[in-house]
Amino acid sequence: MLELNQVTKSFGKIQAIWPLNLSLARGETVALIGPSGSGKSTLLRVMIGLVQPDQGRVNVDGHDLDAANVQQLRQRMGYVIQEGGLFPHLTASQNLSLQAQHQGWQAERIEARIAELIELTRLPVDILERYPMQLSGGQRQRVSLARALMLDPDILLMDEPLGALDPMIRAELQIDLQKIFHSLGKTVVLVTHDLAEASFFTTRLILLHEGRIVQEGSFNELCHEPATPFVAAFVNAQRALHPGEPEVGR
Amino acid sequence: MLAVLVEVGIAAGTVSGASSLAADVSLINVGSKKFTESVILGEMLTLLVRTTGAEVEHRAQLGGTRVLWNALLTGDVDIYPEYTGTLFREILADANLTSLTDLRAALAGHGIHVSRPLGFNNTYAIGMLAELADSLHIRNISDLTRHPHLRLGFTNEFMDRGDGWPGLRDHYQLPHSDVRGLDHDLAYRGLVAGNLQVTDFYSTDAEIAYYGLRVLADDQRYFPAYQAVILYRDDLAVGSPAILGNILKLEGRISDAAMAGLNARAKIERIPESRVAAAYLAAELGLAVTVPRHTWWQRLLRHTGEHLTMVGISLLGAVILAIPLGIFAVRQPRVGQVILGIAGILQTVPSLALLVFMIPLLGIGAPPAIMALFLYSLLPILRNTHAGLSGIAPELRDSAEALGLPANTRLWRIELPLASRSILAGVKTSAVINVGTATLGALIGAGGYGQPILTGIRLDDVGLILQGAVPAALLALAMQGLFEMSEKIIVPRGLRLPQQG
Repeated sequence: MLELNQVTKSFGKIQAIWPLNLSLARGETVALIGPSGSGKSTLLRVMIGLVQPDQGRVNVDGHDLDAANVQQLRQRMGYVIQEGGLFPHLTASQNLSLQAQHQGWQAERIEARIAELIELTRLPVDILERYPMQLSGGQRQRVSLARALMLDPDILLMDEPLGALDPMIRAELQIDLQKIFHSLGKTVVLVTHDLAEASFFTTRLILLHEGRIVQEGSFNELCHEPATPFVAAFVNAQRALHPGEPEVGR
Repeated sequence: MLAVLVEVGIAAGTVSGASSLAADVSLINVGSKKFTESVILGEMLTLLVRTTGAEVEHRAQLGGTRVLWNALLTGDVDIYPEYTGTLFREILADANLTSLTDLRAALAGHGIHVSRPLGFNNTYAIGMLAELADSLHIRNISDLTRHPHLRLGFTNEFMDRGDGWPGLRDHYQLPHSDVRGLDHDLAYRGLVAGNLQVTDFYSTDAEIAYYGLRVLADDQRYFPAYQAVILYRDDLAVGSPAILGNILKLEGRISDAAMAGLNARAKIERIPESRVAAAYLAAELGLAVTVPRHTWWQRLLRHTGEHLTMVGISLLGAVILAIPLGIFAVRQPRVGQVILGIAGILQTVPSLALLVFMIPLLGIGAPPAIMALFLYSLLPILRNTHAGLSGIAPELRDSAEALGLPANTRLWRIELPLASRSILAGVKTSAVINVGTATLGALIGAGGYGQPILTGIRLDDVGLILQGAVPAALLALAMQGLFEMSEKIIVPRGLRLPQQG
């Protein structure tokens, strides 16, 4: 469904992504994890064409992403970021309608789709006429998710979608997200720096460090068979936040 | 970019300046300089033209000699009073003319005619308070060399003219270093207040007698004669013999004493120049002339109309050009920096200079004023459009792009609404600055609230100054209010909400 082939990217002298391959099957969920600056967000932005790779190809369902088809292929990808990226001058319902309006949908069809989505994302109806400033953090992320799902895309790209939420709301939304992913059968790429969150959603974790994939595998594999000292250190640093579980490597 | 501006300027000129540029034969334009004597003479000429039944307009108190001379050459002005000394030493200085016959021939080369002298000689004179002159035993200009510490203050025009201060200083070898330029009408007040001790004036000035001033004798014969004459265009001479015959009736009819008396009536007795002129024409030439009377209210309406026209058109033009330019500057950052730089340079040109630069291109009146105001309005709008758009949070830009919306849709539905507050603030800044700067338009014949201010300064009449200054200030406040209200319409509601806790 989504394939990266020998993709590289540098910003000036900094090599953000070294030659990298990645392939996702339809309906699969992968989590890109790693510390800040590891290149995981850049990789996500390469997938949706916000960043042009220096070399290599991005293939979406058999089509190589290029300047000519990027607008078209973006209709098949939903993108959700940490603070939601909702437009503050538009109401929730206007935010949701933007893309469909541009596709020339009739008002009734848009309305019906919005009704489906707020049910799916468990949003109260009365938030539709509110502006992003008038929503809670959790509601904003739910609206953002609904906006990404508006055209029923095949792929969902999510960059720290829960990063700005407090723990209770975060846990609640995690469960809802997982249900949605499973029920819709979307291909999902989730960027997070939180190992536990990543393992909550999928068994296919990809750990990035300085623009390279250092290890790919399940939570257990990363914990018990760290490929490099960095992997062990990364895992340990996160485990330290959850005392009571044994440290890796002893 | 410059080419675009010039083209826009020329286009604006041909539209709004059509009445003054296209030979409108039925309307005669009389000009005068911004001092009372010139305005009185201008009123006389205006009245004389009007008695022939012709349509006439007095473009009173224009900036200075250059403005009027250029306006005469381009035909924006058909007639104006001038002085022989100014013609010899300033306007045609390069030709080194000596006689009136030479002058006549040289002017004919420009398509300009000159009348015979009107009678009085209003030469430049140097003077000081009589009391001070007596105590220092100063009678002649050459006596000033013995008092190098006197503070000298001259009118700005006198400071710069070839026949003014530089020539006088060289001729008399004057050693003074404390010399400054100021407005003619402020010089008298400066003398009385003691801020300056020596100034230039005109030998027919009403204030000489009024303030008890001593005119220093030009003992080494520096100043030439400044005989008043009338300059008029070829086409007037050819096309309107009746008008010409009427205005030439003034030749030889105004003596030195008569002119000083007229100046005194206008400046000291505060009688409007038009009535001073009409009374003199009635007494001296036996002409029954009618002076159209305008009430205070009519004048205010007219000035408001002129002012709003200047501000409105220039601002509209600036909005139409600067917002797209700002959008362009964000998309093409390198060209954008150049565009912002040019607009920044335009902003540093002093407003009066910018106004005068426009005269050769657009003549006098509203078009050059509108063009200058338009150029001034560009920067605030351009800069705020640029800042508003480039200040949009990167994640919002990304989100818009990730939705697969094309650039045009992103601009109209997302970027411009998000930048609207900043853009509107830029337009507001331009509007408020424009209202103030437009008062200078009166100097180049554009009218507006500057007209009573200019007259008020000339006549030392605070009431008149306030008639221009108060409405200008109120208009600026109204603009401010208007824009604050329009913010509620233009800036989307979602951007005006307080953040929820």
